[in-house]
Amino acid sequence: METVDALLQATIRAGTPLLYAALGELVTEKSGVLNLGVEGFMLMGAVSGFIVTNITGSAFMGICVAAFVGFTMGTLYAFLTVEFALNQVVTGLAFVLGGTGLSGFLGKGYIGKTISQVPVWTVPVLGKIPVIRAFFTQDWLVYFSYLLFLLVWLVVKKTRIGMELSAVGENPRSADSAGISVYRYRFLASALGGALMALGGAHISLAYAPMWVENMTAGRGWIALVIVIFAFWDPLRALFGAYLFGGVSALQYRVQTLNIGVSPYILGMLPYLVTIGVMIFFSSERARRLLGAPSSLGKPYLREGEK
Amino acid sequence: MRKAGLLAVVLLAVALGFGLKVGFVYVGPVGDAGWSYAHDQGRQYLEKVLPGVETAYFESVPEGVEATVKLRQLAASGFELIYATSYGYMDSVLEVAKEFPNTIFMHCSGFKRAENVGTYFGRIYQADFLVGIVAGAMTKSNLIGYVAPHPIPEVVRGINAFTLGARLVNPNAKVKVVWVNAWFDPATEKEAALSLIEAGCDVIAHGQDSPAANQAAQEKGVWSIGYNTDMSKFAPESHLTAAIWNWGPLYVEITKSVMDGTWKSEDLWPGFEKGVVDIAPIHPAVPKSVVKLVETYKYLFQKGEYKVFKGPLYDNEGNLRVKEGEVMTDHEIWDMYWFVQGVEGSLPSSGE
Amino acid sequence: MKHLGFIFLAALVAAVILSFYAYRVESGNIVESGGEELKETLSELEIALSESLYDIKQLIESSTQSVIFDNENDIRRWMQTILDKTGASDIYCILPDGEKVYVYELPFALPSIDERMEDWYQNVITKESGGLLVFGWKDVRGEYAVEIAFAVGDLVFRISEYPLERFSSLLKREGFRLTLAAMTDKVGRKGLALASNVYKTGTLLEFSQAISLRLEDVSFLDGEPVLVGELDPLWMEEKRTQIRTFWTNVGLGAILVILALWLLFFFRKYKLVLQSPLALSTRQQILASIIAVIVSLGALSALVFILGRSPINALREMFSWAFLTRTGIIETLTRSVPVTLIAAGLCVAFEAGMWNIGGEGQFIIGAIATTGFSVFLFREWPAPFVLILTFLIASLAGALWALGPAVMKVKLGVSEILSTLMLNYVALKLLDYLVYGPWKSAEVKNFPLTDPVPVTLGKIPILNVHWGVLSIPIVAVFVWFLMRASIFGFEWKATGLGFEAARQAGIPVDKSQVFSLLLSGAVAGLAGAVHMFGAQYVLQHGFSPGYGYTAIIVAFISNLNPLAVLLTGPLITGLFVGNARLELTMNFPVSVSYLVQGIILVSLILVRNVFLYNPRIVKRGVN
Repeated sequence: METVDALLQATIRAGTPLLYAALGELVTEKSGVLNLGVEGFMLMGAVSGFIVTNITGSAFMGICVAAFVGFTMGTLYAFLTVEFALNQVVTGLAFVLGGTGLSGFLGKGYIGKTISQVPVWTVPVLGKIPVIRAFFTQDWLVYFSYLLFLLVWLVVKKTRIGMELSAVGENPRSADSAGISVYRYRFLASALGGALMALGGAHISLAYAPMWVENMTAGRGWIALVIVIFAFWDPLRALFGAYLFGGVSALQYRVQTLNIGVSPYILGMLPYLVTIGVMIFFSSERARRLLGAPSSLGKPYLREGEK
Repeated sequence: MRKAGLLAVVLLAVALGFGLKVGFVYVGPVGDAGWSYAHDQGRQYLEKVLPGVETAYFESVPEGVEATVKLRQLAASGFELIYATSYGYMDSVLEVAKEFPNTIFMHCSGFKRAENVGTYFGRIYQADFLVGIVAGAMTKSNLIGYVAPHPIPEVVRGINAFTLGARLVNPNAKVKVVWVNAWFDPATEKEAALSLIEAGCDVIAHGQDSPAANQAAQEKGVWSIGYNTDMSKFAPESHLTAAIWNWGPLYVEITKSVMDGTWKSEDLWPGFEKGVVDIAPIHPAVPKSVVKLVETYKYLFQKGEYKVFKGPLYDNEGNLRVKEGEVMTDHEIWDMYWFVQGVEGSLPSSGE
Repeated sequence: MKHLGFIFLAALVAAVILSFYAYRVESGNIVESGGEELKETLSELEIALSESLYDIKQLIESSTQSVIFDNENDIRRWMQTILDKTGASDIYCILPDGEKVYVYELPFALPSIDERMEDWYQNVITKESGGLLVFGWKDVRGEYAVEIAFAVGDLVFRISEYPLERFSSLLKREGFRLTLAAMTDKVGRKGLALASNVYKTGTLLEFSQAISLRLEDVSFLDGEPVLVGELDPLWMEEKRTQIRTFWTNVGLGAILVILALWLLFFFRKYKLVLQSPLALSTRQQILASIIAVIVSLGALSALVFILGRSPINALREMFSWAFLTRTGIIETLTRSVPVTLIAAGLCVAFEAGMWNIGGEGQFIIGAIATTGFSVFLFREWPAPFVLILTFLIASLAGALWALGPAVMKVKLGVSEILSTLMLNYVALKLLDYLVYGPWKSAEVKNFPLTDPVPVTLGKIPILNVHWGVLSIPIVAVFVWFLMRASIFGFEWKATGLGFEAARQAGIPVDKSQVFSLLLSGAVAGLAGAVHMFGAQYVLQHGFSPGYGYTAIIVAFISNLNPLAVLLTGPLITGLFVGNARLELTMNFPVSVSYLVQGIILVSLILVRNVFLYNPRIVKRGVN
């Protein structure tokens, strides 16, 4: 039982940054905006959270600032892609490059510094029950991710706001004629999504591996993008997806200790190949339509008379 | 003739009040608390001790063509002595050295030399042996975890020496190796360390450039051992000791020999006797007797009276590799690519 | 909707403000809780010091003046100074091996640094040395260091040289309660630190920082030393300044941007209206590229300026190095070969609307194929034969690597952006697998390198760049020809402009998309072969620093025109070469070049869209 608990715990720990990022991307994509820059957002969140925590000694403040930085970047992204109708693929790539560069620049003096990491807190009763305790012996940011997941799930699935958000992503023209402000929804979704992605980065630098290293997200932003596709834009499935990928990376080293005789480099390809497999399996155009992918994803909305 | 010319240049520079320009090329960022950090400490030491010397560096230089152009840039910018601090720079160094015969290149951990290319490295395995003793003495479960970067001889040698040290004081100790296939990837390293702890290891050692494995050990309340530099500030409670690099004195020695014209192309592979390698302060929880033992072996290394790799040595499949009474030559140690008895782990097969 | 936006923004701002408040309370607490006790201790110390024998001022000054000793003689000299200044009768000094160098030999062996607990000092100082203990040793970094210890009451003070961070961990380990030490802090400033570990262990480091005083802040009244006991702290002030600077530099800018954008477009009655798209003239396209480069250079200059250097010097250094010096030109051209080739190929894919992000992976696969075939199969064959055959095979390998994504895109609608990107990572792992495993050369002592390719392209005389440079114009013209003067080109263009429209017009869109991706993969694979034969020779871990990604920018800047790539490829590469040059001459962080790449991209498409849509700001409701 011990090992199962430990593996599950590792799975959640490794899956949390992915969960944050995937939720952020999901919210953004729901509104019809494709944000490929997740990696850049995560890195900026990681570095700003770390710097502030290092200076002030308060991880809480680091988290707030990381979210704020993500929010700012999301706003900028929305401004460029929603207002100016910039190509979302290229803008996303530019945000990856810019985020990588700027985080490296800002974090230069903070490599090798230490912080007091976000503490692990065991929930009194739940933390004692076998299996379930894996979910409740985690750091504060993990608990916060549960909360945010619930919030996103509720808002997207159960409220009028969520419905309108989907409408904007589905068919902006009819949403617009129904009196829903397409621009405002997209603006807000991008900005909040950005904040979520940055929190994912902050989890890595403040709790998972409490230090700052250039490029420390190591491609997790791209995996988050895949998780959203894998989840068919559904928060609950995104949760599973994030933990599934977390589980794969946690399992990788546990399998290695068993000496199964496969080159670790080949094993290292696994997450990427699985990702491609998942994409083939799920994201055919038909499946997308069937399962409610935002139809206008990646297409800038221009009002009649403007185009 | 070429040598004389070089000497004249150096003398002229000194006479004019300019020092030697020394360039460094690092493979990682200087703040990584690991390999490149240790080299940069050496560079700073060099600047402090030899005030006339002017230094500059390139960090995070990938191996291959990128390194070639960076080395060429240093040589063309008037740097007279260039330290290339990664084995992967090997061919780049030779290529550029051919173009700039008046510049002296020192290549770390390589073996190809030319008239103006020397090689240097340190016997870090001696320090690995010492920290292995500490690890072997501290393990209760007789299982020591080792988070290993890439399967190359340098790492294999370190793991072997570490294992021999551990089994010196604890013949039942086993060293479990997990490859992370990266020199520097904190989140991955931490995950690997945690998997080892779950597998029952109660001392975690590593050969990485980041202290993530130490942090993981601290979190889980097991002992850990650092590498490259003293990593105790990242995990003060768990950090037993560390095998550390101390390049400063060697850099001063090499640079001085270049300045006074006595430099010649050779292979330098010093260990404790020159102070190039050392171990970090040992955690107070380690019994005094163990500390004394470590100090004794350190003293023997300093005097050059102890060899780590001497027979009988068996590999981890039970084959006798070195016979009783035999000592492995430097040559054999250099390209060691098999695990000694007591290591649990496998090496990717090589192309032989 | 409006309210929701307000609520989120307000909540976030409130959280930031709250966290400031939380921070203030928290740091206040440190001082509050530790303060009273420490103040008491300090006043005790003051009394005790006034009774003590030594001129502490002298002691401190002399101990902080000389830090590192080259040899033992210097230590002797320094000891003599201390002796003269303090008038102490007994000074003990020993060196590493217990060897006597000065005045008196200690009657016992010196324990290792970790065993020297407070009790030990107390004991030696009171019983053996008569109040003052001085000794030298060699520390782990091989530096000779000197330590002075004296006792005041039952507190031991040690004065020794340590970096601050190291000091606090040592202190904790050694079990000292309160120690005074001469320190060198992170910025190399000399000073005194008073550190304690009787309070909270976790805050030890911060605590010692909190009360570290600079030497000049220790005042001496009437010749009697008085430690300034006010805790407040320089440290607190320093931290506050740090935070203030942080916010003025980064935070304030971000807040301003965000508020402006939100107020303008989200809450207020204004909006941006885009006009019907106009076609871009060639002049506008060129202008957009130029503006993008200028904007990015402006951003770079701003960063240089922030770091306190002269932007003009930096720009001059960059350009003169990359384009005017011989070594710089070699560097620019050598690096621009793979970048420009891949970019030429990408033009095709992008033109057909296939977002090939996998240039990097296809390039690596090309290089792998090159090594595989030339080293293991064609080793004995005549050189021209090997070259031509390998070029073909590498192109084929690159195309094959792109085949999967292409088919998946057309048949299943799988996003080629993600699949090509994932395959980049797979290619990197494959490379590692090969060089660390089966392809490792037997001749390099188990280092992860393959054997070198059997033939090389050789260097162009005088210029010293390999002949592979010539492949750039050949490939670029070939691609240009395909794009502008063949039926394929027409199909690509039509597909890229409008998928559905092209399909209705009877253009085989699927085929043309697959072909475009294959072609760009083939060119990237060829680039891998040229790079291997021309400059790289052996496969090794991480040999490509992202040529495939830089190529994307080059393709965009060139507006997907392969002939323009010929010019922009070396230009953009030169920009990055020059940028990297700043690392050497100005110690400028290398990561900035990524930032510059990002800024170029954004400003480029922004300017293009501005030309294209001619946007204007109008009041909402006026359509």
